[in-house]
This record gives sequence, C-alpha cells and structure tokens, in this order.
Amino acid sequence: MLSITMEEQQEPTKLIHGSKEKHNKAMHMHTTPNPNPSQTIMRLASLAISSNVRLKSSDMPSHMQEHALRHTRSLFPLHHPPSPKPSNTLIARALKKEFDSKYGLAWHCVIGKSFGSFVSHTGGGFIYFSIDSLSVLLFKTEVHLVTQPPPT
Amino acid sequence: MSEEAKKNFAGALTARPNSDEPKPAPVPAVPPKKVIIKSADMIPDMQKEAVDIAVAAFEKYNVEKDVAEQIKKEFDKRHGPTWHCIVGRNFGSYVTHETNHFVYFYLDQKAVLLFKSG
Repeated sequence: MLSITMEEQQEPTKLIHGSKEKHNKAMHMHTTPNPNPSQTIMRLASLAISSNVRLKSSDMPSHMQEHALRHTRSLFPLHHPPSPKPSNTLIARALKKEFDSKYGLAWHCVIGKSFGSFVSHTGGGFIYFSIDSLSVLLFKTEVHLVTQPPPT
Repeated sequence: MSEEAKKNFAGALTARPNSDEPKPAPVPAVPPKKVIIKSADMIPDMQKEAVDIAVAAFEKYNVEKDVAEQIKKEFDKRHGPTWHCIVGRNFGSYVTHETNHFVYFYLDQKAVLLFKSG
C-alpha cells in the first residue's frame, strides 16, 4: 500500500497516460543535432577568428561565404602594416569580379567604414561581414537579356 | 557636368519649403543642402528626382539605412524594380547597373549611390 501511494503522488498523470513517456523519447530523438551543420559553423568560426573577420548576416551557401571571407582577406593580408592598403573601391572591384567570374553575373560590392544600405538580392546571393574596421556588403541580382538596344 | 550640378542645386532650393521642422537653435534661414553629382548615367529629370527624394528622406530619417530604404522603394514604385541604394560618409563600391540607370551624388557630407540592376 505504501508503494502504491508513493507512485501516485510522484507521477499521477503518467500512470493514466502510459504512452506519454514514449512521446517524450521521440521528442528527445528529434532534438539530436545533425553533426554537419555544427561542423560547418565551427569551420567558418575558426576561419573568422584566424582572419579577423566577423560575419554579420548572410543568405549564401557556406562554401561561397568561405570564399568571400578568404578572398577579401587576401586582398589586404594581416601582418603587413608597412604596405599601403588598397582603396575601398579597388577591393570592391576585385571581390565583385571574382564572384562574377566564379558564380555568374551580376554581383555588387560595397566596402567602407560608414554606410547604410537597402538592396534586393537573389536567393543565396547575399553576405554582409566586417574585416578589420571595414564593413563589406556583397550581393547578387538577376541579369536579364536585352533584346533591343536601349534608346540613346 | 557643372551645369547639371547647378540645376540640381536649384532643385534642392525648391525643396526648402518642405522643411518646416522646428530647429533646436533658432536660425533665421535654413541653408539648402549642397548637392554635387559625382557620377551619373541617368537622364537629368531622373537625377533631379533622385536628389529631391534623397533630400526629403534625409529630413525625415536619421538612420542611413532608413534613408536608403526610402529612396530605393520610391524608385521601385516610380520606375519599376529593381533598384539598390547605398548611403554613407565612407564607402567604396563597384557595381553593375542597367544603362541609363545609375547616379552617385553628395548631399553635404553624405554620399548617395542609386542604381538599377535585376
């Protein structure tokens, strides 16, 4: 009689609904994380730390994100303070043309210390990150074939 | 080019009556914003329109992102999608734009880049 009383006091609802326990187990299974996304995040995070970059926002496959971060870093590498830093426009040009050639037209790039923006981009073609003290915006738009030359 | 700049300056003057905001320090007359067209591949009427919309946006908003949003959406509405706008004091850019749909100008210390693509 004592054991019965204890059970009732501890978990009265479970006694009535035995299946609830199974449901909890199923939920637990669902919460098990997929190893791939975490590995991707870890790799991007380690890249960010070693390159002194910070990803702010993106809608882009991870391999393209990595490409953008690495390529931008290569344009003005760390540990080379004596060499003059290229202008923002030249960096923007280089990054835009790199992505134009690798991932198709048309990409646009904005780099600077102080700017705001409002743009539209194609799905999977947007990244906004900072590198050293600069912010970098890189995005893609669709290109439509011009069937007739525009009026002059 | 200088003539176009003058035209746009005159355009800025006409926008002055719209600024009825009370100033913290009373000033007899609010000087019009200085407009400099740095680079343009755009018909003059559309350039003037861009400047006028930008002047109004700067009076209405303080955050650069909001100014850019206002300008871009207004041009999407008036001239069809898709426009992009960048506003700020310090930035370099390299973009691809449709023919006759690009303008880059200064309003006092702020630069405005507006172009159509996509």
